Amino acid sequence: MSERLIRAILLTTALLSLISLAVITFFIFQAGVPLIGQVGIAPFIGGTVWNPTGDPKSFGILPMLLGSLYLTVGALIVGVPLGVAVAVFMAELAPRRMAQIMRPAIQLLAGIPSVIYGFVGLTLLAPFVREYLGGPGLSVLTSAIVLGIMIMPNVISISEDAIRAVPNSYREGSLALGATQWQTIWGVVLPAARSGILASVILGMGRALGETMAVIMMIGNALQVPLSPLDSATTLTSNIGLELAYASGQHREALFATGVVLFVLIMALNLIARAVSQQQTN
Amino acid sequence: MSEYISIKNLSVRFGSVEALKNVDLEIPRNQITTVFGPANSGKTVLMRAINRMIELSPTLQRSGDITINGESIFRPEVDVAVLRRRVSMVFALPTPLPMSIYENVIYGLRLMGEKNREKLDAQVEYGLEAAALWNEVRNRLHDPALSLSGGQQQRLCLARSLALDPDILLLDAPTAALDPISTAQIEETMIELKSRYTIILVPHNFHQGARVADRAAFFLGGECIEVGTVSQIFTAPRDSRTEDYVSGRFG
Repeated sequence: MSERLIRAILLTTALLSLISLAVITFFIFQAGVPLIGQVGIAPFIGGTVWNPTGDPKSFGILPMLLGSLYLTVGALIVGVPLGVAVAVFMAELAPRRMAQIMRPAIQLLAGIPSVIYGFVGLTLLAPFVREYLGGPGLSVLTSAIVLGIMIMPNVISISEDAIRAVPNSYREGSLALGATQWQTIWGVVLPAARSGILASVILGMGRALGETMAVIMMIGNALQVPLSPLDSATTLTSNIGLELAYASGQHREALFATGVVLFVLIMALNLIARAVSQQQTN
Repeated sequence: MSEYISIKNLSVRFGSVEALKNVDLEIPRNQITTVFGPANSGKTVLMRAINRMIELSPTLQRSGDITINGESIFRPEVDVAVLRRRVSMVFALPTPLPMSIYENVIYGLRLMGEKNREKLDAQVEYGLEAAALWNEVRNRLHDPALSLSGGQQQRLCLARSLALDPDILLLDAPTAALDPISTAQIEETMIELKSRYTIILVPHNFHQGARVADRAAFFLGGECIEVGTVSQIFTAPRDSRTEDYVSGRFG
């Protein structure tokens, strides 16, 4: 009897998580898709003017879409090489004691609330960028640097696991053929770990695309297509975060439609991440 | 008998573990010397000392010397990468790299900066031919090496070493993971190769040593107990511990 009860409880909780995913999906699509229907997919995604309360109204999300994409790519350019380098260091080079100290420190980096990152970017990095590189300081570049640091812990921990999972026989085989340690890492270990590293990159990409709070604080929230990394911009997420509180009617629907676009992007990334991490080397 | 490799009073420790104790051993050129003994007798450590793979362990302590052609391999000016190409090692378990058959064979040559296609192709054929694998893979050189069977993978690893044209081959139980047919092929290959290379073999079992080797060295607990010709060691050992082992009383 109690066995069955426990089974039933566990099954219910498992179903609950599935149901909440279904409810969220349904809710967002229901609220957002009709507007995309009215405006049309091309003008919605390709339009450059976002004026949801003006006359005439205009719902073009291209500036935010590009803002999100540039920011995500920028964050990857900053975070992935650094993250993979740290992972290589921790898995291959660092003395055991040092790796043991670094690992919790990096996990702590992942635990810092994003508003703190935003705060640091706003008060430290933005003035620096404004002073030495020009522009308003609150920019794609500033946000990309901070976001790159924010995704590093994900990249590091998953890449490190992938590198540690490379069989030692690969390393020994390579070293015994006269390869240096660096040649072995570059020519054998990293290629063998590539599916795990790629998965870490895609998860980092998802994090960068979805980050809202820190981005609102650092990117300047300007509704324009950014032409330079030093320009202010806005993103899909920060626009929703900023406008939803006072939006109504079609404006509100348009924000949900933005959410649909975001949702589809993130879903696609997750599917790719799963496919890549399940793919066997070779 | 001309000594080629000389191991002089070599002791190796890893932390508190004493792996080799005052080993003295002379290895002649163009012969197969088999280094045999029970588990943990120091055979593998000895092999890994000759191409300095033991130095991968951070807790290594070494005393004594190894010379090849009279020159110490531990001199500071020795480039470990060059040494490991001259003294090439094949491991107990096949260790193909996760790339194509072709790329595996030329891996060492690539590292040396060899780019000439014809030279690379020639070495691939030479290595695979010498390792008795050429006929089986000649039509699929660009397939992944991991798609080969275990026996083929091990012969690929041998081919990879031979393609570097080394002076010395260290074979650490190269047939341990293989079936009898592949084992016989590798043993035949070894005997053919000794005219060109000096081979040190940790045998899969001591019968293998008796079948293919010219000289034998019996190791026990990190010490070299007895060295001699194969026929002397296996039929008339001088040390009672060697006799106990080869007559099957322990191990």
